[in-house]
Amino acid sequence: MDTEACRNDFIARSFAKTEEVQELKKFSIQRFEFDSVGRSYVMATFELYRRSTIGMCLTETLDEMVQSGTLSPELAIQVLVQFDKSMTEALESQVKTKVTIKGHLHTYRFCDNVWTFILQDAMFKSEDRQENVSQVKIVACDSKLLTQ
Amino acid sequence: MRPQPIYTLKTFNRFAFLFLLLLLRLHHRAFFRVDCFGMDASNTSDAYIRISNDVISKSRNDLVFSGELDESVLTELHATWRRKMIQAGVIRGTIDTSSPSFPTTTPLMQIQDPNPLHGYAQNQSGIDTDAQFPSTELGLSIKDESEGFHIPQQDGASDDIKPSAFAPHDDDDESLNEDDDYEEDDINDDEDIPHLIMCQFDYVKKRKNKWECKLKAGVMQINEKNILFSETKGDFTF
Repeated sequence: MDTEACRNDFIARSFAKTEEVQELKKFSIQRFEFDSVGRSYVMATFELYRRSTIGMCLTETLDEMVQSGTLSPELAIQVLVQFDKSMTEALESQVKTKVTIKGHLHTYRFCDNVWTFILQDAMFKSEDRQENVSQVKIVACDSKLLTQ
Repeated sequence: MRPQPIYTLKTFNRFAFLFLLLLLRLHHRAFFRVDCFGMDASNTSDAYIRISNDVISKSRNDLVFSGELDESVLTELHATWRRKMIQAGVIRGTIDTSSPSFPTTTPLMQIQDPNPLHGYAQNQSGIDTDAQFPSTELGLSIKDESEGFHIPQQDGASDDIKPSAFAPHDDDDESLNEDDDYEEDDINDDEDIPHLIMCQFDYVKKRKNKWECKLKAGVMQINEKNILFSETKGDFTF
């Protein structure tokens, strides 16, 4: 893929409309990596954390740098993939908070191994605090897909 | 000899002074905590800072040492990323205003932006109204139309693109018309629901209308806060 197409592809991937089914496919680009004896294997990451504030800040930063030519789209994608890995790893091992959620389930959808729920009048309780929201969207990928 | 009384006026004053000092410090801490909305904000801030440092250092190992990427570019990336997160209010810190890469950029948080091309504008509720966070030079006024939050658009004319402009148009459609509209509870979940949770699921079960799920490794962006969780049990009623 030439640089221009790659750049457009990068931008399109980063800012795909949420209503596209493609967006629900939370797998990143299948990168081929090589282990110590040269066997190739495919690394998959979850892209969904890119929609968080930290992910959006990174995506915007990378987009600005790609647009200005400071950074190549290929490298930008590699940084994003690294973000996916770091974010997932931090949430799985460094965060210790446990929460319970209760609410009225308004909508559910299961597509491409991704559950999407819309809850109404939801209550989130952790050990020291509680939050209430009138409406919340939950997007959840299958945790088993990451275990190789 | 009669023992000296312990509670003279002098010692009393000293204790009173120390007591008041302690009260002041505790009060200060309590004030701090209230502004932080509990410990979550600082936990999230620390976690995000750690994550960004991890991404940068791993990218350095992968890309800079192999010569594909310049260290200066990586440093600029890190600085810009940090700055945006501070502006968004999800991490603590001060913005280096002397940096050349500090222009008036497009405001990150456009909550009501209906422009479908900018998908990242959809779920911006990460602004923390924590008074702790230093105000930026941009002087963003944070005042919403619906939630108490609004950042004036500075990148051109207001985007009032109706969603129908992008919908496929079919004039000779006989089989489907407005009689087939789904009348009940017209909720379009692709519009701005400002509260969003991104996570993984271990299982999702349901029994009649009772749903039970186990979620993990999640980011919650609710009520203008960023809360991270390792595990969640959900009980929903359909």
